[in-house]
This record gives sequence, C-alpha cells and structure tokens, in this order.
Amino acid sequence: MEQLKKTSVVVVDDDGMMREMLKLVMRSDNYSVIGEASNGQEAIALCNRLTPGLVLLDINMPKMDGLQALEEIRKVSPTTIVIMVSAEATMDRVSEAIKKGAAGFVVKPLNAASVLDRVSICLKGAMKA
Amino acid sequence: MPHLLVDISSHGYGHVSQTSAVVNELVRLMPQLRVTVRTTAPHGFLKSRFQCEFQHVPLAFDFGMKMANAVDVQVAASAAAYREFHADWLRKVGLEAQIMRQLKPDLLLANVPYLSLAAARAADVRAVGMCCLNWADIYKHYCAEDAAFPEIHEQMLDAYRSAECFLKVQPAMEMPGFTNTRSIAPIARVGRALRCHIASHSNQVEGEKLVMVAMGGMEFRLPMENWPRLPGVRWIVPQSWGIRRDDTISFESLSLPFSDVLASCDAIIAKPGYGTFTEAACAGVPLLYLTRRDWPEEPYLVRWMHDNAVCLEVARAALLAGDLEDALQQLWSVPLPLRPEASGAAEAARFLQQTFF
Repeated sequence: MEQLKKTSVVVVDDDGMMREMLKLVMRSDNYSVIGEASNGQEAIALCNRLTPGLVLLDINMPKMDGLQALEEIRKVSPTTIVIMVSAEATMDRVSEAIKKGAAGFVVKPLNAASVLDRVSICLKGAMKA
Repeated sequence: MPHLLVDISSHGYGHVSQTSAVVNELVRLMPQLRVTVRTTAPHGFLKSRFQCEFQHVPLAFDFGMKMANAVDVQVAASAAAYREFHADWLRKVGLEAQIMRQLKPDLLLANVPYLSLAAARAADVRAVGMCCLNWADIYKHYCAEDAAFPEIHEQMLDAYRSAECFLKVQPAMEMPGFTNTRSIAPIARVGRALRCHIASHSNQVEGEKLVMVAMGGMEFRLPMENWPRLPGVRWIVPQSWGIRRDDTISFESLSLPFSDVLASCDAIIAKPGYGTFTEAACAGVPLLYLTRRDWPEEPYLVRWMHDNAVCLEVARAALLAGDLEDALQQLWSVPLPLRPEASGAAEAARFLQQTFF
C-alpha cells in the first residue's frame, strides 16, 4: 500500500473547484499531485511529459472530452492508470470507459473517503492485471 | 487574512440558507475574511445566497437520511448507510483532519456535519456547530432500535460536543445530549411586500387575496384543476404544475425572490420547513400547513409557529379537494401577533467575531 500512496497523480477537470477538491483529497492520503489540466488536450500533453502513475479524468470537458483523452493517454503513456470521474455513471458510460482502458470510475458527488477507497481499489486491480 | 471554513450538509437547501445569512453578516463585520465553503449543494444556489467571494469545494460529509422522496424517510436504508459510514469512522476523521490541515482555517463553522467537527478536533482547529437540528437526534428518532445505534450515536454526540459552541438557531429541536449550546434568534430572509409589482405582472384584480401554494416540487403537485373557485382568492402556484385556471398566477412569471412573493401574500400553504415557516412568521403572513408527522424537527417548528404567527393545520383530504375556504377565513379573522425578529444571523455573526477573531 505504501507504494501505491507514492503514486504520482494528475487531476483533469474543466471545473477548477473539482480540481482543487481532488487535489486536497489525494494529498490528504499522501499521494503526490504533480499536475492538473482543464481539458483533454492539456491532459494528453501533461501525461506525455510527466508520465504520471495515475490520472483522475473527468468525462465532460470542452475541447476534447475525457473518453477521447483516455484513448490518447493510453497511447502516449501506457503505464499510466486512468480513473474516470463523472456525475454520469450510466452502464454505457462505464463500459465504454473500461473498454477504452480506464481502470475504474469515481462518481460525483464525492466524499473524501469514497474517492480514496475507489482509487485504492482501482490501483490494486490495475497493478494485478 | 482570517480564514473561515464553512461546511454545510447537503440534505436540502435550508442549511445553506441559514449559514449564508450568518456568513454574509460576518463578512460585513470583517470584510477581510476569507471564506471557503464545502458542500455538494449546487454552485449556482450558493452564488445566489452568499454575498461575498468564496472558494467552493464540492465535498460531502454526510447524507442526512436516505429519502424515498422529499418527505418519506427510508429507515432501514438509513440505518444501513450509517453503519457503513461509521464502519471506518476513525479513518474518515483522520482523512478529513488531514484535508483541514491543508486548508488551515482559523475557524470551522459546521451546519451541521458532525464528521467535520470531529476532524476539526483532530486537526486542532477551533470549531462551532450551528443549526436548528442535528443528525444525532434525527438518527436517534429513526434508528434507535438498530444494533449499531449506541456506538454510532455516541460518535455523533461526541463530535457535536467537541465544538466549542453549538449555535441552536430558534426554532430548534431540544438537543438534550448537547452540553455546549447557545440559543440564537431565528434566521430568516424577510421579504419585501411588492403587491403593486404582482398586480402589474399578473391578472390580479384589486382587493383579491393572494395565497401562495408552496409545497415543494412535482411530487407534491396538488390537483388544483378540481379545486372549487374561491371568490376573492388568487393562487400563486409553481409553473411546473402546469395549472390552467384564470384564478392562478405562476410563481416564476413574477420574477421575484421567494421571500418577496411570500411577504406580498395574504396567506401561504406549505409543508413544515424551517425556511418557509420562519419567513412566513417574520413577514407576518398567515400559514396553512400539511403536517409530515414523523419528522422529529416538526413539533418544535409547529409549536413555535403557533406561538409566533397565525397558522392552522390542514388535513390532507381537505388540501387535495381544495376545501380551504373555512380555514382561510379563520386565518384571516385572527389578529396577527407581534412578528418575531429575524435577528439570528446578526447575533451569530457578532458572537463569532467577538469570540473567535
């Protein structure tokens, strides 16, 4: 677990409030937040440059949405684990994201413990795979 | 720059209304105050209520009670959810304390998530609770028979008691388990009576009485199509109800805040809720109410209304049938008592400034 907690994280959301919240939550459990982006294009560029261990990726964003960005991130940084964050966790959305390589889903609205629990489960699952 | 952290339960919007009134007053006294608001209430609603700059962090700290709809509590589901929520209580408190340390507030004002108060103690942050209710007493009312109740309830009470003070906003529940309460006057947004505006934006005829029907959303839509016409009465109703009668005005067509429409009316029909009840009493507007019966805050609200306003309970059958003429006439035949003062926000803000800053 200690190794997981040193995972470097990039937070991607077009809503600045959500980014701030996710940064606070991740840092509270000793994750290292190394970058943030407000759309899919920025996220891809960041992942290409930083190769983070984990990306928390919003789905609905301008310029390039999270699902498109997910595919690109998997290409430019294949070792990066991507967890989608969205208010819309319909079965279609979830299965599309998983098919494209997401390790899991975190559903808004959020509380700190549930975010960290989901992240921990997804990271463990992705590392086993 | 002093920093106020405001944590608000997201169970209904009443908590936001109460808290924003106090924070607005506090910022008036302390314009340099930095405010961070943590709640999952919609940002747009927060913007409409908070008159100051604030940072919004969309985090949840509690869930109140699991609801089947706006009034029906799901007791078994709530008990199960509390068991799950408290299963790793100390870890949750530790995480929230870590987040609080990052935010470095000078004071936490919690309306009324107890997890925040427990975290504040762990992070060594000064903290005040504030509300007309608390989740420990609500939980006790519904879930006292649950096997996990004693431990969970004690954790809740312990968190609430850890606050330096709990501002009990009147009318409030009794809160017998609390040792740190300080009673404050009602918090209400008292509207402006704008009858001329309403007359000019509607088909209201001079001399007609205006009665607002404010039961909440679509699930409380009343079958007003079948109501008898009451001479001299014009109803103000939600647009979403789609009522097509020439003796109604849609609330939205008036483009006025709820408080102003309420203060312009001769009566309101509503279900018990802190905001509507206190606003009606403080504006001197008589009230017909449909009781919820099982909500533990209700007896305190109703008792206070009977002491401070003109109000009558209306039976569900009478309300559905629109059999309201006698009740309305009865309301209008009683002289209004002295209106209670909605001075709680100013009182709370003064207390916070003098005690904590």
